[in-house]
Amino acid sequence: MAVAGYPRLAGLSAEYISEQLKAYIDGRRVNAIMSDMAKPLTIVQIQSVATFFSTLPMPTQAGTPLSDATQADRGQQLAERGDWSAGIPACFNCHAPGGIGIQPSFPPIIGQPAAYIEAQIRAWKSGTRQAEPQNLANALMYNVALRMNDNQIKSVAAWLAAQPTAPKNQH
Amino acid sequence: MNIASPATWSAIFGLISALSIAPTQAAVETSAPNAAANTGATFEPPKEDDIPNTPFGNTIRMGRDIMLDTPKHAARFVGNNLSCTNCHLDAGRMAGSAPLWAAYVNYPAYRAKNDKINTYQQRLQGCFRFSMNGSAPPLGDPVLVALEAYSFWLATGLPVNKEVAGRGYPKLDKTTQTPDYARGQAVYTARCALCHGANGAGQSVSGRVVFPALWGDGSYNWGAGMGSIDNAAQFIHANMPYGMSYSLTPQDAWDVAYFMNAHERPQDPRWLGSVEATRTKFHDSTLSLYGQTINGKILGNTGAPKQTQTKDQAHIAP
Repeated sequence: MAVAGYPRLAGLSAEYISEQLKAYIDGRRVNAIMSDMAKPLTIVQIQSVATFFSTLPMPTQAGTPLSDATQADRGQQLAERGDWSAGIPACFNCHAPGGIGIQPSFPPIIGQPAAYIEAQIRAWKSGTRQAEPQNLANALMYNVALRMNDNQIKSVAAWLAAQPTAPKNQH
Repeated sequence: MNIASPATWSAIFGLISALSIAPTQAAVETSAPNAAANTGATFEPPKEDDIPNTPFGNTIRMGRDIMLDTPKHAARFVGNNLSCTNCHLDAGRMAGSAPLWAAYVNYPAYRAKNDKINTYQQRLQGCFRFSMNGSAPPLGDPVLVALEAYSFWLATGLPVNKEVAGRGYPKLDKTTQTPDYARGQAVYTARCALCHGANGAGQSVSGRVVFPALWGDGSYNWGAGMGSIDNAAQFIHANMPYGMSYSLTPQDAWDVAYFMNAHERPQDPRWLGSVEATRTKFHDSTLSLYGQTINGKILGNTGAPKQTQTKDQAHIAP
């Protein structure tokens, strides 16, 4: 299990990891540790490190039921069905059934710590995480995050993080 | 549902954007929350948690499941990779996204498409034959019964035989410029290809369709309502991309609907032996590109439908 808040990189696509490092360099993502680490990297280094992590097997994780059943239900509902009356599509509408992602534009959202998922939704909401301006994903995730309240963000992050992962299905 | 005028929405979004965007970042485009926003719909279908725990409730749940994953739950009748919920968002609950509750209370109804009064189950048969490029379940089949039960339950409290706000897709007036392939292609590349792919084939992962095919063998056939450019433009304008309702201009919606329907797709099952005859009888409209020449090819000129029709379908008028 990852240290709280630190995302797993193993098994993410090289294209996605490269784009994230470029986002730290451009200031489209901001993180106290990563921003400064990314800035000195050359394009070749970015590609090398992205390829390396993409070839590592995704760690497996058994599902852990959440202690708060109400929170679990709310999180599952948002992940699988969304809250369309509030303009929130289901996470799985774009990140694929089971949240396993569609590379490269829709990263897997299972197999990540709750604190990381929560921080990312908040970063999209506040505008401190952005894709390239011409990328539609930018507006898609911003609008969804904008409409999510605190309770929804916490619930869906907790539920996603508690799901089992099966590496064979990642690609 | 959250209903407010477009003016109110833009005021709200303007305020939220001003408060929440970090000053160093470029402002990101915002949109209306959902298709209901511009429809004036006030009806809210019952919550799914309130489906009764009875045998009838089980039938309702089966209808809901068919909506969400049609190839899985109605496999015998489906010939492509689409699910009902692709065009009836939120499992048929969303106003402005052809909600089932609004359709249900207006059937039986006359349909020009087959020039007779259709029951609700007959209307559903058309969905399978055309939009799902499959075969019509026989009347009374558990698939149709389940979808009817789910629709009936969604419509709880609605009066019958009355027009209801939120039905179908919101009307979209014609724009000054005639829909155009090249402009549509540009809209597609910028706003659609991320999900549906550059080739319109959609995207799947681990055998599950995530983004449906918009044209080609895996999509709806030439007889589907979505093949009509006005229907497609209205659907797209109100519902696409996900979570970004009404973000395309009406002109963009018309252009991209034209572009989408200017591609080849499975043959119209009402095929009359030639593309000319089939166009004359079923597609005699500027809103259908079937039988028209696009990029040097006649659309629909692909010969007889590949699927054989069953006896059950023979007595069902198209």
